Formats: sequence, C-alpha cells, structure tokens
Amino acid sequence: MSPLFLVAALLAQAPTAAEAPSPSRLSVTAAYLGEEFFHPGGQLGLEYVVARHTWLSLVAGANLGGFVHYRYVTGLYLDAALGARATTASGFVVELLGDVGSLHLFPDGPVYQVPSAGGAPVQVANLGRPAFRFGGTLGLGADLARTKLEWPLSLTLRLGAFGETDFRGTAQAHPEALLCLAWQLR
Amino acid sequence: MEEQLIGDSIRPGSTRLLWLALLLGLLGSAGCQTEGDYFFLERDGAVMPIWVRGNVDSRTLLLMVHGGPGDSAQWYIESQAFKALEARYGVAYWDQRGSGTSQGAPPASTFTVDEYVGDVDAVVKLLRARHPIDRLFVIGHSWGGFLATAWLLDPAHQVGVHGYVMMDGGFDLAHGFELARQYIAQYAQAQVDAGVDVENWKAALAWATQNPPPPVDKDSLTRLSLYVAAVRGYQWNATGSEITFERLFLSPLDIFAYLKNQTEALSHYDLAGLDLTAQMSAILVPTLITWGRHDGILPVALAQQAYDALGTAPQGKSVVVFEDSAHSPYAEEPDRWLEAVTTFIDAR
Repeated sequence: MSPLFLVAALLAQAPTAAEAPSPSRLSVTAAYLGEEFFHPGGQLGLEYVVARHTWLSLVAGANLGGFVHYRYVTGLYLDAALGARATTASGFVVELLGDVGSLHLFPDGPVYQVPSAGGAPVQVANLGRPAFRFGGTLGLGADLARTKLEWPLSLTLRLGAFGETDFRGTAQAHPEALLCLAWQLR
Repeated sequence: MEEQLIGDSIRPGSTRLLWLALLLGLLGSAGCQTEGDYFFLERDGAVMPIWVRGNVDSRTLLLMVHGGPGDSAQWYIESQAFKALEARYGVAYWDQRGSGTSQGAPPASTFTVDEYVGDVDAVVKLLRARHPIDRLFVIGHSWGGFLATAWLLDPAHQVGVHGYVMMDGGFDLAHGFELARQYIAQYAQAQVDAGVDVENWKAALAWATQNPPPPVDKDSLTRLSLYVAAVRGYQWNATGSEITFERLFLSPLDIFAYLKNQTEALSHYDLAGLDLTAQMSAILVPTLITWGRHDGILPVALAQQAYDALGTAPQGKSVVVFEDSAHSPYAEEPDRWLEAVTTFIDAR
C-alpha cells in the first residue's frame, strides 16, 4: 500500500469530532522489545497526548527499558519520545515516533584485566559504557477504545532502530521491534 | 456476560500477538549460542571478547588470531574445519581491539603494533589463568599472521607455545601487496588475451602495471582489494556465504558493530610499512605454514619467504600449499587443511 493511498484512506475514514470517542490523554505503556529483533528486552513508559485534531494526535512520552544481546551487551535506557499518531474511526493506528535519551551498555559477561606489572588476571567491576541514544519507529496497531469493545487499550507493533553514540567516533545502529500495549488512564 | 463477550471478541487477535511475543522471546533466548566459556579482556580502553569452545578437556588450546585488521574471530566458528578442530582441541576465538564485536573506547593512540602485541600477551595470560593448558598453539590468518608473528618475536612469548600455524600470513605486507599487484596484472593480462571483458580487465591491467607503482595508501589499498576480489584472490571457489540467520540474529556477533569496527581499525594502520621478515629468525617454535595457491592479496611466494625467514630448525617447519584455495584454505579445502593442522599439532 503506497503512503499516499494510506493517507487517503485515513482521511476518508477520519471521524468527525462528534463521532470520535474522547479517550484519555495519559497512557501507561508496556512493551516487549527485540533488539535486532531477536535479543529480548522490555520497556515501560508513560505517554501523553499533547494535542489532538480529530484523527491526528501529537504524543509525547518517557520510557525506561532494557535488553540483553546475549554475550554482547546488556543495555538499559531512559528516553523521551515525541511523535504523531493517526487513528481511524475503526481504531486502526499508524504512528511515527522519535526518541532521544541515555543508554548504558554493559558487556554481557565477566570482564578481566591482566596487570601490566605481572600477576594473575583479576575480574573487575563491569561498569559498562554510557551512550547517547536516539531513534525512531514506525508503528501499526489498533486502538481498542475506538472499537465496539471500548477497551481503554491499544496494541501497536513498532519497527525501527535506535542509535548508540559515541561508537568509534560516530554511531552504531540497533534495529528494534516493539510490541507495545498502552493502557489509557481514565 | 459482557465480560465473556469481550473476552471472546478479543481473544483471537490478542492470542496471536501474545504467541508472537512469546515466540520472539524464546527465539531470542533459547536460540542464543550458549556453549563454551565467554568472557572479556579489558585493556587500555578496549573490551575484547574471548570465546573458548570445543574440547578444552584435551588440555590443548588453539588461539585463533583473526585477520583484518578489524575482522572477527567469530566468523571462523561456523566453518567445517574449525568445528572439527573444536572436536579435538579447545579453540579460543579472540576479537582484537577495535575489531569484530569488541567494545570499549580504545583511543586512536592504542592502534599500534606494540599495543596489539601486548593484547595478545594478555589474552594468553588470561587463557592460562582460566583453563588448564598443557599445549598451546597459535593460528594466525592474514593480518593475524602478522600479529601472531610479531608476538612470537619475543623469546619470552615463545615459552610454552608448542607450535604456530601461519595461514596466508601477512608478515611482510609491503612485499605482499606488491606481489598482489603482480598477481592482478597476470590475471588481467590472461583475461585480455582471452578476450574476456576486455575493457574492464585492461583498466585493471593499467592500474596494476603502473611503473613505478603508486604508494600503497588507503585509497589504493581499497582499489587493490577490489581487484583481488575480482581475480578470485580471496576466494577461489565460492563456498557460500558466512552470513546466516543464526550469525546475524542469535550470535554474540553484532553485525553493525562489526561493520563499524572493521572500517575504523583499518583506518589506523599504515599496512604497507609492516615487514617482519628480518626479525623472524628469532622465532624458534615449530611452525606450519599453510597457503592457498591462488591467494591474490598475499600471494603464495610469501610462503617460502616465511619459511626461509623463520629461525625454526628445518625439521620443525614446513610449508603446505593448497592448490584449490585462495586466501582461506581452511574454508576452501577444509579436509586437507584440517589434516595438515591436526598432523602438525598431534606430532607435538
């Protein structure tokens, strides 16, 4: 489906203000995170609808998450997100989100040093390395509050990537997938 | 009743999604490569992974020193030859600083031969501390053949090393690249004479026969590498891709870090200035030199040069040339390479 067709379909289905339900602005989110799709992790967050114009919303949020890339790194992050979300009357959701934050990466295994003056190798504290995180996702999902169920939930599959910088003078890409459940607070 | 209705309505979609999430989680965790002993060496800003696999109970350990600079030892793991080596011996795969899937933030000032040699020494000490090793062998491939040779130049490092396997080793990169240029010229001339893709091969011939040849700077190294690939100088017979689903998504190797590291590590070296030939008489350990006949980046003439330069007694060193291989005989003729290496190891 081309983007133009998608936009046209969204416009055709855009409900009037009177038709649309009036969901809460604040949501709690929980997500399964797959760093490079298959390295498991999770994310918890809060999301707030900053502005809403019929079917289009401007959303902002904050997330705390982590993942384990087995035997490479364990990552923890805290980020702030901002993006746009289009929701049809039937509850179909398309969203584009960007985020920036702080990422800390720990080598996933014991770390040793070998004293240069001689002596036995010693295991040292795994302090990891701090990094700046920036990323973006494209999401597709369903807002169940817009369906006849009227559940205050939405379920979204987000695909995208985040960058880790500084890495060798620039950034390292980490593709990611998130299966995100959002609970709209009343 | 309403709850039941809602439950029935929502179940099909949500169940699928829950299964999907569960599947992703299981794939991500259960599919990971958990075998062996995996740990990191932190040294002068670099955090380097070391993966010890295979039959460590044999108390014979092979340290794999990978090529590059910037490549990863973990590429060798899936090869038939190294799987067979692991069945007999322990094999340690170490990713060098700023290479493969290494981490940390090593400063540019640490990308020196001395620093890398110090890393090898620390790796060996760490391996000896974590595993009982009666016999230690070092395998150096390509750039790893330079690095392992450089480490062995110190007689103190040779103590406790039972043998060295140099595979298409870059101990004299200056001469090696000049030989590579000649190899490209010969191959290109043959293609022109045969009327094959004449314009392109004429361009390759012109580049390779410039007299005097241009200095081997980074740009010409890139060009050299492209032509070597074109003349099948890295891989004589296509042996299939090393990039598998498991490698990309379930192994410790992070492909994005690997690609970034590879570029970075290469940028730090003046490879063309590296030549250990005159110092190699200090190496006295038993050495097996294996080389691919069609190696285009480090041509086979270097094998005899290495043999002559080593201080090892004639009965302790030998050359085996693999007639159907280019730069990586372990991948192109695994059975023959394996036989040569295991015969060498088991004799010591």
